[in-house]
Amino acid sequence: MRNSAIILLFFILGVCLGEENVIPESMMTMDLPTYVLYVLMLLVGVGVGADWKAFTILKKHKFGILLVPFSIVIGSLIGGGVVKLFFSDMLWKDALSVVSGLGYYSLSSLFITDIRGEELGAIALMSNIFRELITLLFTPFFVWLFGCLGGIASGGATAMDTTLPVIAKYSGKEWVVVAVFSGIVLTLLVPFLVTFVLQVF
Amino acid sequence: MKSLKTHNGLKLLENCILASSKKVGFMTYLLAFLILGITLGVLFKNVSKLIKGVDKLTQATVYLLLFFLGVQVGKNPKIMNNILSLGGQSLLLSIGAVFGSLLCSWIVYRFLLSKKNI
Repeated sequence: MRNSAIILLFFILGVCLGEENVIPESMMTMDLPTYVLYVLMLLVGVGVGADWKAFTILKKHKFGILLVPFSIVIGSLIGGGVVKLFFSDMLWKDALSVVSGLGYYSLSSLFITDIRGEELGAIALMSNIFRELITLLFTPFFVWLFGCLGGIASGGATAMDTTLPVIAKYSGKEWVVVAVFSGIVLTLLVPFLVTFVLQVF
Repeated sequence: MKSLKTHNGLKLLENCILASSKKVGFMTYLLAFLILGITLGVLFKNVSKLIKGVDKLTQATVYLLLFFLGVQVGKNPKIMNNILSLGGQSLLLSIGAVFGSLLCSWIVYRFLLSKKNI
């Protein structure tokens, strides 16, 4: 819980400094966050390598692992549908396209802005950033309540990068392979899913 | 609805493929760093001081990353101007998506994954 509080604190600090324009634009445009992400992957890798059980999980579960990203897509759509029931003025396709972002906020908001306009694009952006934040803050709780897939399911597309360290920490290092697999599949799927949902519903 | 008219099906599919393929390069880098890390981890796993340090450093890097995410959010007028009017709806949708995913993945975890030695 202490760890989650620190994460939230850093995020809020960033929001405040970002809004006050204290951080020079050049720092963000030279892809600093991307490089930090690369460093993070390296560090998570070292942790996994030092605790080498990574591939035993694939032997143990075999094809069951393939169902993980599939279940996350279905679950997100069902969950989004349930929330939609509380908003009578919201279109089905709008609600479902937002949750189809699966946490991949930059791309999903771009697509949704393009197809459905600024307002829904902003909702998609915020909603999917919230998904990443919720995962970073509550993964310990999710793993405790829903088992080792907790953080992977909650993180969606982000399970392969930004939320991977918390998944490794709370689900266990051996789940990193599953998280990366699920995250990659979902990340590649997001543009197709968003477009499909907006066309069909 | 009107903006949909400017897209035909093929164009939309093309956009999707383009967007996904752009991400492949980035993911290759991510995987390369992960694999490099795993290799280093296997090589140095007996240096327990180093491994402990790496765990701490990982934490610190997550904080840094979240700081950057915060800065991006703070700098983005699209978010800052809409958070009060659309934030609640956005949050509820993400909570719905998270719990839907948690429940569905729990079913997979509980009934479809092998329970041997776990």
